[in-house]
Amino acid sequence: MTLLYLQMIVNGTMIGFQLALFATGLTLVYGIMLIINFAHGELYMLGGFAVFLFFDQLRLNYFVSLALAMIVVAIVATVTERIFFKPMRGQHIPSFIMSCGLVFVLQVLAVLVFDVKDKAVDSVFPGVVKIFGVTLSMERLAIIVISTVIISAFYIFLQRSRFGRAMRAVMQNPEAAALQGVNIDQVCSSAMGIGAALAAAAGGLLAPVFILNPWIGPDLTWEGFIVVCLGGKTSLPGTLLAAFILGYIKSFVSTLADPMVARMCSAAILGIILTLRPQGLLGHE
Amino acid sequence: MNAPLLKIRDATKYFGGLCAVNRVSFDVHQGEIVGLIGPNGAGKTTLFNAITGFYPPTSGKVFYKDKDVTGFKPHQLVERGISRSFQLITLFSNLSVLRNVAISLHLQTDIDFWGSLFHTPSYLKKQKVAETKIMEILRYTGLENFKDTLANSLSHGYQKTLNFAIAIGTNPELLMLDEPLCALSPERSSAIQKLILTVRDKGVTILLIEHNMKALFPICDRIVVLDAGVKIAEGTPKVIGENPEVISAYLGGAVDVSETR
Amino acid sequence: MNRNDWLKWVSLAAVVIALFLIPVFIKNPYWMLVLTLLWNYIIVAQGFRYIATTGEYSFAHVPLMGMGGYASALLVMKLGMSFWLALPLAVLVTAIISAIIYYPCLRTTGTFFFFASFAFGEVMRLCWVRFKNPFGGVGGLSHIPRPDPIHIPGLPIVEFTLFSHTSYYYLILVFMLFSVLTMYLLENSRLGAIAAAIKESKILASFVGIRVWRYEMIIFVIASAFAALGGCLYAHYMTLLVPEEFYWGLAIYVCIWAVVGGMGHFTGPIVGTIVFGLIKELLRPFPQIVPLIYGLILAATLALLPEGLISLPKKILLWNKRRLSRLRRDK
Repeated sequence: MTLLYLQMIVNGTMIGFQLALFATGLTLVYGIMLIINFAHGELYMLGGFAVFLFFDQLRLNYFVSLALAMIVVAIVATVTERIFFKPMRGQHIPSFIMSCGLVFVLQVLAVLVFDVKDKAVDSVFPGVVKIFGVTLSMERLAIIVISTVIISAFYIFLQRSRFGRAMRAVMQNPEAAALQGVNIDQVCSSAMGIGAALAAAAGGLLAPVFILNPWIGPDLTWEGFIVVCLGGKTSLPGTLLAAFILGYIKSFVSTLADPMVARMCSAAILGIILTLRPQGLLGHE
Repeated sequence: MNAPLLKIRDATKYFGGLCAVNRVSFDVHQGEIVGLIGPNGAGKTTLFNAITGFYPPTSGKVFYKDKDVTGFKPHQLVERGISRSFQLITLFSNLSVLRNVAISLHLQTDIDFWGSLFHTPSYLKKQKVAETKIMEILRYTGLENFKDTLANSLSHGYQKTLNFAIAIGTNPELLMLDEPLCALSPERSSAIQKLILTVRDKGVTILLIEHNMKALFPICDRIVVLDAGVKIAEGTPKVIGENPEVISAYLGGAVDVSETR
Repeated sequence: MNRNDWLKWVSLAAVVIALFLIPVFIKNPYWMLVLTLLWNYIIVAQGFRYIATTGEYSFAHVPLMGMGGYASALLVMKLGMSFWLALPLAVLVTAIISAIIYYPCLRTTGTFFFFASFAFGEVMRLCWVRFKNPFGGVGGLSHIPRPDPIHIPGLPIVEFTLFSHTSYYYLILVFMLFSVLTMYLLENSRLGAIAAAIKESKILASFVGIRVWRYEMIIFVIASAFAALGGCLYAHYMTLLVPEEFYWGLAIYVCIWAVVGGMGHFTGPIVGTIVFGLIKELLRPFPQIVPLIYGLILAATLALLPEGLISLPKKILLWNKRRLSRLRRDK
């Protein structure tokens, strides 16, 4: 019994980190550019495929592959932002529709390059480890550790660096930030790039664990939006909190009931939060 | 002395820890024009919002014709005869002036859904009647030449006039205007002031927020002054103009009432 | 009636007659299928637009289409009802469900309305997956029977077997024309005027006495009835119903058809559905890239022709006028 619960907790933590990395990028993009990017899941998918390409096919070091994946996807995203999203900043629905078009484009491109079949990425950290007499997969623990590092690095950047402060300023009050001399275009593109890098990192980290095919984007994007709305749409700490809440709910409900019920819970949470407490858990009115 | 049309008792509104309106009470009697003034941030619009269903007051009560209407939603108030205009231009932007006013007649036009679905002759007749009513409103607000212009193509002054026309269209007994003269040219401003008096002469009671004291004082019967959410004075324009607290609240410059008459 | 109106009526009549004459000239079953489905999707796309007349985009619309299909299929398969009775009942049941789904969504608007509508629609859709009995789970419902034949005394029996391409074509065509006509009348009725007011400004609408929630609900339920109608006809035509079909993919497609066609004009979604349907057929040898082309067309439309394809004639006329006036000036 304890084994089951511990595994659910580890799984929940891992999913929490996946969602945290993924949804932080989404919150960043929404908070700074005020657009709804439905193609965020495709960035995760491309990150996974990039790691597949670099690590599995080209046999590069895993961490190098991960870093490369983050960079490549960030560049793709930044270019896309400049071309497609710049004129739509601040407009939720047009940007959402546009991003849906992008989803199709990226999915088909992935199919053309990588084919429709699921890709298997070899385990990066094979083996198990025994903690408190319980056997846990090294892979999942490694994912948790690496995610922690990446998220912490991001937060340090946000809090300490000058650019990070500029980003926070734009999130709070874009007009005031512009008056202070902040280059809004630069901040927007960087937000997109950083958000994409985080999503790609999540994709790359979870490639060995979850399925990898061109269609995994949209399901995850919806969960990302559930996290963002639950957390409080522009609150980064809220996103973290919501990511873990959703991660644990998914893990526990999937195991104790079944995955469909877990998905129903996630969808219900989105509906309930938006209608009963639209500011989410940590957001402002 | 007849009972007041509108009674506001200890209206209070908190936003988190900030108190925007603090136990404000006053009455508005039938046929009066009452002005609500005060420096920026005094809580005038917040009070309006709290009484007209934008958000409920944190505490306090509002009575209309002796019935408790505290926290009533906007459409419920309109059904009872209270109408409100907004400080910022709020129009049906992409619709013509004619349609804007037509919509304001919503409650006075009998629905006749099936007639409107099939455009029956009886429906078309009702449309003609409604159109005469609309043209009348457009005529006395000075908008009849713009009847087919899109609302957002009008100049600022005429948009404010349309705001006013929409509020009148609901056939209110109590008309609440939020800064109707704000940012208007002198000629538009005096046109609207005349309109306010005309509307009052038709039997409508008016409560209005205004900054422009020179415009306000000649038309108001009474004035209520708010500062930092609290009512600091109430009385005729003459009394208010000489009230030292009011003068200091506005930071300088006594309002020379003699100049405004 | 002036000349313009007369022209409009005549061209409309011509189009309708042409639609009825198509099966006389086209016998190929594949093309019958394509066109029949096109008319079916138009019912759904037009319903999506009907909700948008209040200013909201609903992502529960397509799941509710599925609900209509499931309801009618189950009524026929599990309760042995005739299709002709199951159809209106399924529409009614779905309308009631839509009221339950949309009720909490009334508190939200814009982006959050469509997220909320997606959320509750998704909970409903996942029920079809989760509860194998009666919905059939991931595999859905198969072998859904075709409608029973119509016996009108004095006329030949009208059959809807798997080979009766023509009769099903006419069935859906008639329902499509009925739906489009109804929604047209609704949009030009009092309800439509109220919807336009709500779309422009919910706040001002409530301040002239319009009970915004009540009218939104009425419109949402009516639109859902049409979605359900499309779903029923679809289910009994394809004889197969899978939950995956009514997921975000189709919902986005419907949205794209309507948006690219042009949301501002009544016939926008019709144009969009037909254009995208034709493009899909043109790309038949390369089915993989269909979503790619859809996405590129969408991006191009949003960037270059945001009011949709329906605004193209007007824009061309305007461009031509300017060109002529420039030539005149240069003379």
